[in-house]
Amino acid sequence: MTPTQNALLPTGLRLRRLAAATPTWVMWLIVVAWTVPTFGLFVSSFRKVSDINSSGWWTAWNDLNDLTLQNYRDIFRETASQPSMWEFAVNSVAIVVPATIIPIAVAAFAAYGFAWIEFRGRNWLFIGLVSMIALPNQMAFVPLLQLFNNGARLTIPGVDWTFVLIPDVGLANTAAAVWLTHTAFGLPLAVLLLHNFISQLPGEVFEAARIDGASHFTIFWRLVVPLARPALAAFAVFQFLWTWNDFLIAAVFLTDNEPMTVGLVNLVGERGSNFQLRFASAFVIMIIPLIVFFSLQRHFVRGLLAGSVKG
Amino acid sequence: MGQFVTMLVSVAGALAVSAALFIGANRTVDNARDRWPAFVAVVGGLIGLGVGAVLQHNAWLPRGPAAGGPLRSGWLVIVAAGAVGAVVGAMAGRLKPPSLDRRQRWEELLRPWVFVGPAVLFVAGGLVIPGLRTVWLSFKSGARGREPGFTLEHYQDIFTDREFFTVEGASSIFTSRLFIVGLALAVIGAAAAWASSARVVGGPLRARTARQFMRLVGAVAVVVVLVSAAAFIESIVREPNRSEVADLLTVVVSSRITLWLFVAAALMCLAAWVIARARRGEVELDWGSPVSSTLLALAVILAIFGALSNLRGVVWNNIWWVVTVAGLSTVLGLLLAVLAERARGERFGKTLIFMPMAISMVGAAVIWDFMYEVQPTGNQTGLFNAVLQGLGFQARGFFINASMIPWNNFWIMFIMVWIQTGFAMVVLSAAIRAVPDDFLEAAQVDGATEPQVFWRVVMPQIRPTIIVVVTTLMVIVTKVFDLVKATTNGANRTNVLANEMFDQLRDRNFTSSSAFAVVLLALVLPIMVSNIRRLQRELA
Repeated sequence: MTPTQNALLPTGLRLRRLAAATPTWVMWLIVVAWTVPTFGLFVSSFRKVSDINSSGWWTAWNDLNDLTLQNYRDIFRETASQPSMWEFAVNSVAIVVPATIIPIAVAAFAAYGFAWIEFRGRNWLFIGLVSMIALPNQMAFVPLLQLFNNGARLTIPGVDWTFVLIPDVGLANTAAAVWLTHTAFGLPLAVLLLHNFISQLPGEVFEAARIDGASHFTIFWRLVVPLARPALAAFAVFQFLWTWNDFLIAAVFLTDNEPMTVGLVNLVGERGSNFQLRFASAFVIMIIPLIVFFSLQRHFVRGLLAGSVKG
Repeated sequence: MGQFVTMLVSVAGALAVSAALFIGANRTVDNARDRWPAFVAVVGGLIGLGVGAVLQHNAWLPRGPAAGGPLRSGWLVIVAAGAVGAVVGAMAGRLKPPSLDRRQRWEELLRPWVFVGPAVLFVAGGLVIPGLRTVWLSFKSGARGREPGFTLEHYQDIFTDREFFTVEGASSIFTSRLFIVGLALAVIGAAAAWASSARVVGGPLRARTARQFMRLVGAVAVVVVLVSAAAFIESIVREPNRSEVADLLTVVVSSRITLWLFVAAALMCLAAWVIARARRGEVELDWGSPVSSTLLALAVILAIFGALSNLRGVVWNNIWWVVTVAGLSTVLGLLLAVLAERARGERFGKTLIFMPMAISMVGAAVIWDFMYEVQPTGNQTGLFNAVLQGLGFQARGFFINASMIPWNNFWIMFIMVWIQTGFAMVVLSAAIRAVPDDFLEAAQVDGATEPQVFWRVVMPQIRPTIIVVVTTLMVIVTKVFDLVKATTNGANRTNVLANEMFDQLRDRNFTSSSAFAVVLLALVLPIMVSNIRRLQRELA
């Protein structure tokens, strides 16, 4: 319909047509508004410090030759005040890989156990475990910190006997402490997601395998793990993003060998100096989760839906 | 490089040990039926290891060169005890094996725990027991919780300190513009609910009156929303907390006469409803009608928002966070999910809106800190302030200036909304898609308009999902920490509980840190309880 024809329509109808057309542009408006901040950061990470402080990033188009990779070179170079980003990146990887794999494995065992092995108190245990999803992690920090630093002791009040329940095995300030913490905090959601999926697998296959003499371990390893691969991938993406982006747990349990998020907060903390480096650093931290996100988005969405829609 | 190798070795080692433990546990339980002596030997060995560890670490053995000290030097004792246990077990296993039936029962008893055990151990040891200990610590005296005796002083500190909790601002709630606008919308919504039901079940005359009335209500609502939006925007743009539109609106809306008029109108609506109901028992308020439910949702959000923005203290601030982010993200997410239904290229648009979910809160804080950037002189380099400057207004430090209190909080909250809207959108979008097509077709055959289909058919269907989204967001937002840490670190009354908890923890005030954690728990406890109820229903 041409504009002239449009103008001939009665006012009410024209309004309605406008209303029907709103959604598209309203959505795209929000999309643009949602993307601009990240884009601004990206552009700024290539600008000189003098440019960043004197003009907005949207003026960068005026002279593209002013863009530079210097900020990126600077963050990967070690200085007296700030270690190289490489060091933080290695620490991040050292934390993230086990902190992703261990909870998946443990949760897969548990999900199979809860779904396909009969035992007393199964439902209660499952509900108790999964309800810990909403427990604020803050509730566990102080005792876990004490545990990693000193081990656990129990003093019997009347006789004043002190037993060592868990010895101090030197976990304080190690990546292993962070793995264990991430595993414990990630498990309730992991068990819920994987249980939702694994309990829907066809039980007859497992029955048949049992009759053929397969043990639970064989069934788990040969049948459940291959069949549950989508759910495992979904949670892997989840847990990866969570551990990679985590700042709180690393800040509580580590005082050196810290991951990238802590490095960035340290950089932001010193307001003024090295102002231009924070953009490049932030972008370097974001780039791996963004790649994972864009390439595995389908798994991520599936994980979200399994956790909340059915939940 | 050395660091990298150490990392690889420790990672591989940890994974290998975990795998060996799991496979070994399964093999052991396999043996219970088929090779009883081997099973008993392994069990004996494990018991031996445990006994050895207890003896060693409690220093109950005579101190030899290998005994005492941490695990490293005492491992010999433990291994020796394990070996003794294994030998004793192997010998005991040869005596007289129990019947096949008994052995099978052993296997069935142990098998679930091989699978479920690690998870239970992790959750019990990493969440449940530490959680209980946190509660216990929060009642202990002394900073480290080592001194004998219990006390309530940590909670008293929180709830008597003006910085953390106070009800001083409570009286100004009733003159808060947002609160009054919220009340006004609630009354209009109630009226709309009455009109809607009159239109559905009333006679022709009443239906016509109701239709005209609805139009009036719609117009009034549009005016109220537009004016308050304009006032809000103006108050941001002009001096913080000072706006000519809003001042005028305050004079008109918050004068006692207007307030009383609203109260009277609300009472009349209520009376009309009660009388009509008593007479016929058929006319009810139609809260589900599009206009009234939108207005009511808006009214509740505005009233709570208005109330919380006037209350001071970290605890209230935390609650304000929860309400604002959970409410705004869900509303925006629902809006986007609906809009994306018919937009072209919606997958691409959704991906971009969803993208902030992958960005760390710290990264998001850097991104937005830069958006809100303010320069004392010259060109503004932050996008928001540049727009303000371009429009001829004064630039402002959105969350770094004390003059912005309490709205500096809102600007940090908005970062969280930016992150979480994608989550709400994706989940709600899936829920909308999951509404059976038959329902929609049936509604269309009956002549329902598109808004009617959405409000009467889709909304009731996705209500459980909306509740899940809101509760999930509430749990996430209650614990908000990184954003505040990386933007203001709690300065200018932007502090939240988790940040204060972290600071106390870093200062080694373990007991007061625990008290803050328990207050956090208290905020999410209702959600935990409702989650448990839901799980029980689903498993039953």
